Amino acid sequence: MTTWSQRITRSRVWRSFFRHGWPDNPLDRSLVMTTNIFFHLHPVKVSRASLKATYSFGLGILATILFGILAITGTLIMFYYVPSTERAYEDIIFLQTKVPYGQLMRNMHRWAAHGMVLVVVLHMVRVFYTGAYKPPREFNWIVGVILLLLTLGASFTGYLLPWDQLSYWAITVGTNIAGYAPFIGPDLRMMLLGGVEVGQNALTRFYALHIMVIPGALLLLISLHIWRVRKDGGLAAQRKAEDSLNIVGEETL
Amino acid sequence: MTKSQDKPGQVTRREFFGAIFGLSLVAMMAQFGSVLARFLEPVIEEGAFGTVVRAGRVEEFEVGSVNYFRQARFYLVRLEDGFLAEYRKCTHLGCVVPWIEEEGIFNCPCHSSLFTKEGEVISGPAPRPLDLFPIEIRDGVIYVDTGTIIEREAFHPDQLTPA
Repeated sequence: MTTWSQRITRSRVWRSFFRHGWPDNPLDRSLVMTTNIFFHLHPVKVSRASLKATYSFGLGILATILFGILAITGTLIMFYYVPSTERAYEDIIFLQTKVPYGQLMRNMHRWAAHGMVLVVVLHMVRVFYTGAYKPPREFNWIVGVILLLLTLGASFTGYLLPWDQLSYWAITVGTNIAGYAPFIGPDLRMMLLGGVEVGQNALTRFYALHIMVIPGALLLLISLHIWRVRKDGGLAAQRKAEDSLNIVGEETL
Repeated sequence: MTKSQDKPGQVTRREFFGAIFGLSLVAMMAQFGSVLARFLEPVIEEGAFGTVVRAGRVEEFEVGSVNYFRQARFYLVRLEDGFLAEYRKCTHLGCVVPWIEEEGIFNCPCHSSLFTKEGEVISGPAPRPLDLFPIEIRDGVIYVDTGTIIEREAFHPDQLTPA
């Protein structure tokens, strides 16, 4: 067993991917995090206090996982969905009744969307009550507020896409509410709908926003948000624990 | 895996749980893979091209007639001894081959492959006769399975489905 696993890990291909050894020592464990574009958003070491489940309830990571589920199921639904007033409703019915696991994909997308709004709000509440928005984390709070608005925007734009009675009137009402915003309201409504009422232009615009603009912005800002957590000194819980220098490394785990 | 120098051959707790985790991960990916494959496999609706199509009743087609089924992509040919369902796709490079009623031949507009009523090549670059779909006649109704394409070297009377 050791021979073939060693043959793989010593191969040139493997070593061109991973420029560090197996993570069973402090150096290689640090290198796992710092040499990987995804992991480097996360700190190399975290304090024991911030690992306590009831401190953060894992709400931030839950929101990120839900975003991942939404991105994957959403992409799969795009394989069967055409954003046209002629086809949108039929395509959704077809997805639910004829496509294997189509109902599952749509339900996962829908419930993950509801869950993401819930989790993002709870995450915000947690950050507020633990005082984690205070300096030096005030910038990240602002990023978080933008992420909340983008999450709501993704939900709102996705609402129209099934093109049933519920969607149609929800967006009619929603965009009329937007129309009441002072000064920019009427123009904002026209920009969103691409016309004076909900029609093909609105469906096209909401589709583009839902599958490209908002998810792209979310991806960018989620990356910034997580990276900023590390740059601002990890979870806020760490501060209390710093006195005892109880930093979790491999020895204590 | 984590070093277990203490007792060679003994599996540590960490190795054990690592293996369990790894195996669950593999099982999960396998499930995702199978769901993905099933989800992305094209769904062909009943009666569309690629399924068994009901062409009509036997007596609706005269002997010697060639009837075009545009949605189902085939010509239903009735000869003296039975039916042929010929795929409209040219065996050369896939163009749609029209039936020329006045001349009694199939004439491909792309590279002038000519086919007889039986689908055999008269001239042109087509390498083999027009492909066939299996025909089944039940209670006087003709069903053509457009999901199965039969390639052939030449026309034989046993390719006919008797009425």
